[in-house]
Amino acid sequence: MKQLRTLALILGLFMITGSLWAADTPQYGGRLIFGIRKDLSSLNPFWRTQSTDSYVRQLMFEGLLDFDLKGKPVPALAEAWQISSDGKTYTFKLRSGVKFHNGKNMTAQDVKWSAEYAMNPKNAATGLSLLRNVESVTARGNLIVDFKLKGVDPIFLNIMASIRPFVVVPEGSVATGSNQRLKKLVKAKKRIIGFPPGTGPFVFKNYKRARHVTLVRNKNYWQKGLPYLDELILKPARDTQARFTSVRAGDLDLIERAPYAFIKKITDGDYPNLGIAEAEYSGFRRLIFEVTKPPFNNPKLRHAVRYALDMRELITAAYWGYGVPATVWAIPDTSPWHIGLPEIKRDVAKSKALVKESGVDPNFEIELIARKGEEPMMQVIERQLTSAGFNVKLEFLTGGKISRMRRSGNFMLGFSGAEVVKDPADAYPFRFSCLEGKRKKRILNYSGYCNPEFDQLTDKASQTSDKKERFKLYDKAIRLVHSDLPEIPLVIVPRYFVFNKKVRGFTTDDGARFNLTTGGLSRTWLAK
Amino acid sequence: MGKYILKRLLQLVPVLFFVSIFVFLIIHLIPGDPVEVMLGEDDAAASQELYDALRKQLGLDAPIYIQYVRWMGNVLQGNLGQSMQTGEPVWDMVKARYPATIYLAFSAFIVGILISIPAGVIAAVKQNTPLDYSAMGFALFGISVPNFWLALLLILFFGLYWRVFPTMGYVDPSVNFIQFLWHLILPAIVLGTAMASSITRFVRAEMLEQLRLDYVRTAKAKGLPPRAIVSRHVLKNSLVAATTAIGLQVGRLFGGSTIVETVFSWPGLALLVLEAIYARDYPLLQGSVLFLAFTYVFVNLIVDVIYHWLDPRIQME
Repeated sequence: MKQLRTLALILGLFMITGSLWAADTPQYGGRLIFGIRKDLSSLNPFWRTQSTDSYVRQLMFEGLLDFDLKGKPVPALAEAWQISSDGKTYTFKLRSGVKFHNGKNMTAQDVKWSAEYAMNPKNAATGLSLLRNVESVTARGNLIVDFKLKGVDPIFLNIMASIRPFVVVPEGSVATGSNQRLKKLVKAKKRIIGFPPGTGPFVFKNYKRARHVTLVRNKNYWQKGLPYLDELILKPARDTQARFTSVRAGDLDLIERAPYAFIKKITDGDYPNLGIAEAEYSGFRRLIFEVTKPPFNNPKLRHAVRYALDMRELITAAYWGYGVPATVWAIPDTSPWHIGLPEIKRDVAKSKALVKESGVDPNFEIELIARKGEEPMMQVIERQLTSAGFNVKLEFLTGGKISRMRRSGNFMLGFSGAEVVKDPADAYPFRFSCLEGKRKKRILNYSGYCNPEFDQLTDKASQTSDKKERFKLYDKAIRLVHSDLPEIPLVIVPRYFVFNKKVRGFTTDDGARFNLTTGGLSRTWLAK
Repeated sequence: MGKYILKRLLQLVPVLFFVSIFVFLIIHLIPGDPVEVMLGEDDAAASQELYDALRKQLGLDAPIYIQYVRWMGNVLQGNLGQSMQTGEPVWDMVKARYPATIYLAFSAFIVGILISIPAGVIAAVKQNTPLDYSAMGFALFGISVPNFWLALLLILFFGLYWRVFPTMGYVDPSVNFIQFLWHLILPAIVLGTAMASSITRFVRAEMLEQLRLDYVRTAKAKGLPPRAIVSRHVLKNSLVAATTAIGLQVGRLFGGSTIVETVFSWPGLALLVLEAIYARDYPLLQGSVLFLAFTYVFVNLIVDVIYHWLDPRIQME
């Protein structure tokens, strides 16, 4: 009897463990309906249009490398790489047996052709500027590709891990030639489906404008066993509130950009059927001074504005408490590149003293511009500045107008967003260099900031591959910028995906991407 | 009648011409640069050459009046141009979205009529009774409540709590008619409620006006039952005037459903207009607004014809 009881106990435990195991074991099949913010405008991977297009393309196309969930370059279509001793040649060893969606095997020649397509100015591909340091691409045999650079580029692997420079498509699968992009933009019919086959985990099935795009499982995907889903339907749902209600009602399984207002309720368990995936450092927010003209050519006045702001309150009031104060330009504090600058607390007395020291008429008016749609954030900033004694004229403008004002330097103080970067070389040199700041039409250095010492440091950093040396140089350069303060880093805010409980295994990175080689929808499955 | 319709159709030409000028100017006055939107802000800035080439290719470097003449020349040849964003012919895009708008507008119209005419009649016949107050209360509610709020409220109750209707989306009627109807009901109710509210008040006012006239008194004196007086005489006469209001509302159903289409992700023409505005897609915006204007004017022509059918005394001149 005792033996029977023990046996029953063991069997019971085995069954419970088994069922728990089954609950967490990926299951194949099913259709996932994903509510995305916008309809698509183009799936051609060589053309840049909007972020939604880019996220969807990552389900179908891949590059040689990818970023993992922590933002580190990892193998994708290339399984290994080597850097020559002079740091100018990158040799990539391709995976064997990778098939395009049309069944053709991927070769080194396809990689060479795809990269060269992006590098040809006549094709006006989005990767042109990112690949400007590449001198030549050589295919050796079927599985080896060499990228010879014009000069040392410490962030070349980061570039290759992004989808923007190029993705691998079959040789000759996109028409080349003078202005073909322009011709296509104007003349092509149904451009949205005029794109080449990729190697990604999902294969395009059909598209209905404003209704849905349907992708199906790539049965020949090189990551054996992936993806789990049979079908993926992406439906545009522009209204955030309605999108969230639809996932609650079960009409959608997964949504992007969930409203902040409901995140706490989900994490508190008020909606037991919903789960969350967080892109923790998804958006970076900043204030840009125009530093070549009065009044903000006066650094003391810039610091006075800085001391009038309270980032913690900004996060609470405008982002429902989600986010962290940004102390440096767009590098999250988990990054190895994060320079440990202290968080500056609001100090109205210090702010007023700095205004006095600056010698500027204390009654001057700050003209603050922001895009329409940024009202919650801007109202908090306006109140903080006003309560510190500043006169503020706040104006909400369209993105296009703000862009023109920034490019011509015709503004005083502007609010802006940016993507979080993984390496300072992705942002600092061209956001703050003299060359960029002195352009007639400012490209990315909107403030017009110029400090030759900063340029020397970043130039030197761009010539060295030694990590420690680079860190030292950037540490100095970043501290210099933040002491001169052409921009005030405000906050880094997260973005949330919400899904119903049958959706399992979905993860995303700080870029809030839909798919990664190591996560995202290729590893998502539906519990039955 | 045929002569009148022909005359009205000819009148459409100058109306649409002025609409086209107005639309063109308004659209080009919206701040924002379509080329910057197409290339992405950073890319547009980074490659001035590409930016300039694209502006030239799209004809945006020419003076605005030249751009208008070119566009109008193409429109007169039946070519609404190509979308800057997708490269598709505007006509194809408008045509693809139009059925969804028609279905929604027509259903909302049915909902509006089914609610407003009985409510208006009851309110007039039972003037100053709780029924009248209820009908007028409903009308006030419908006019005061914003579309998006009513939409979200209905989604919350019927879509989320009671799970009766889907919360969003569209199913083509040729694919699954039942599913199509299921997806249509909530947006049609939202759009129809706003229309019903204003028409209810109109019908009630007209009914009260008619009920005070001599022919009603005569009919009563002849011993005609009240129900017959209302249904056979008063309602028909009231509808003659109400038709004008209904016609104007129907026009609004076509172009004014942007919020409803956005909230319910209904892929109609109004949502296309909104997307074109966001993308600064001039040809698409011009083409779709011109088409909506044509629809509006055409619906009003139909209303005038119905007007004559309801009251043959009205001269078609």
